Amino acid sequence: MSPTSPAPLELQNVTCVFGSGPRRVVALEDVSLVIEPGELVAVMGPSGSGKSTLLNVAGLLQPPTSGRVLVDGVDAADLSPTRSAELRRTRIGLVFQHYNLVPTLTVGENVSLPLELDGRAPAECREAARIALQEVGLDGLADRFPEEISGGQAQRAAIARALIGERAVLLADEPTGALDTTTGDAVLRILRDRVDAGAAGMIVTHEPRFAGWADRTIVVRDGRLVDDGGEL
Amino acid sequence: MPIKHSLLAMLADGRHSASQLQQQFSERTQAVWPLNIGQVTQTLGRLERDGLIETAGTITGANNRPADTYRLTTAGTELLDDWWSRPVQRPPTDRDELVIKVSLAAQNRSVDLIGLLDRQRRATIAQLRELTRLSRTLDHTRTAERLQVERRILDLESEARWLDRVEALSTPRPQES
Repeated sequence: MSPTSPAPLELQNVTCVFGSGPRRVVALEDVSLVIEPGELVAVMGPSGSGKSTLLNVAGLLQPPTSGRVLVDGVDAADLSPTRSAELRRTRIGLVFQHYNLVPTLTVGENVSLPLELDGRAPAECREAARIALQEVGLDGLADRFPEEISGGQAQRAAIARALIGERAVLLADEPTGALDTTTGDAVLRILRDRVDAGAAGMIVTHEPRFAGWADRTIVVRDGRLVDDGGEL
Repeated sequence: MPIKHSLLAMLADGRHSASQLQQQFSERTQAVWPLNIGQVTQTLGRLERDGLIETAGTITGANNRPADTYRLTTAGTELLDDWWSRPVQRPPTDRDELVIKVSLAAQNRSVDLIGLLDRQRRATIAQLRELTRLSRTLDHTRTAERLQVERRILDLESEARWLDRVEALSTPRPQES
């Protein structure tokens, strides 16, 4: 990356409000954040503090009420819905607690899905899925269905799907929430390795052990970033 | 550190001199807990006095001087068996500085309790980060170093969870004077 390259992920004064009147909830308030290549940031905070909203906004799943979300310097708000979805699909990898694998597709088809949606050739998709599955230690499981593999394997398949292609940003929402400590450590090791290879990563977790894998831990409380993990 | 029981455990494998025991302890624990020869000889003296070990001849040591070797007595074997079979009881930490500090802060309106918890959490997670980096370089085996690091990681994790728990609790009512 040249010194003038934009950060893979930047949030500028992001506010996110749901509902109105007495039901108005400020889920995020004036949050600014930059994540550089090779940096893994852990997001912690009490339940309902806005952690998952932060991840959804960063992952272009939820548009902010105000403020800007820049992916590789591109503001998704300036794009058409189609181009915005393409930006999310090609540059952002998302991992969720409950894997979100499509049950009627094989593991390999799940992993290659983002590339197929991009219109890549089937042979290229299969080869990319094979490599991605190998990277997370799931060689030979491409033809299984999600219900035929363990929770730890399903999460690694979800990570393989998140890693496939040229993703610059990896976002994970409680990726270890349904896993035992040893399997959770293995999942974090995979995410960490990919970030060390140059991606920008953000992981929402309530487990201090897994925050220990991050370079920086930020704390969100009542929608505000109360500790950005910088120098005290 | 339970030097007494550690020496008994190694003597259960055969007769050894003081320097052999020191070397073997260092090898078995990857020198995580350094043990000097003075500690070994003093402890051996006490074990012999208490009838838990006895001399078993001499060998020629590394400096060509004769060195006594030791073996377990029946009483020593029984004491060691008891140690293996008995769970270790950790002493209660009834004067934990952090608990005392947070307790006082919780009842002092001039102290920003949440800020205090945030600073402590950050320090705890910073230590956790250092240990996680170290653990990534260690083999996934039950070596003394790995066990020590895993134990420390879980202690720090417990501390961070305790801080979360404190934050979730409500403020105590002020005491009537």
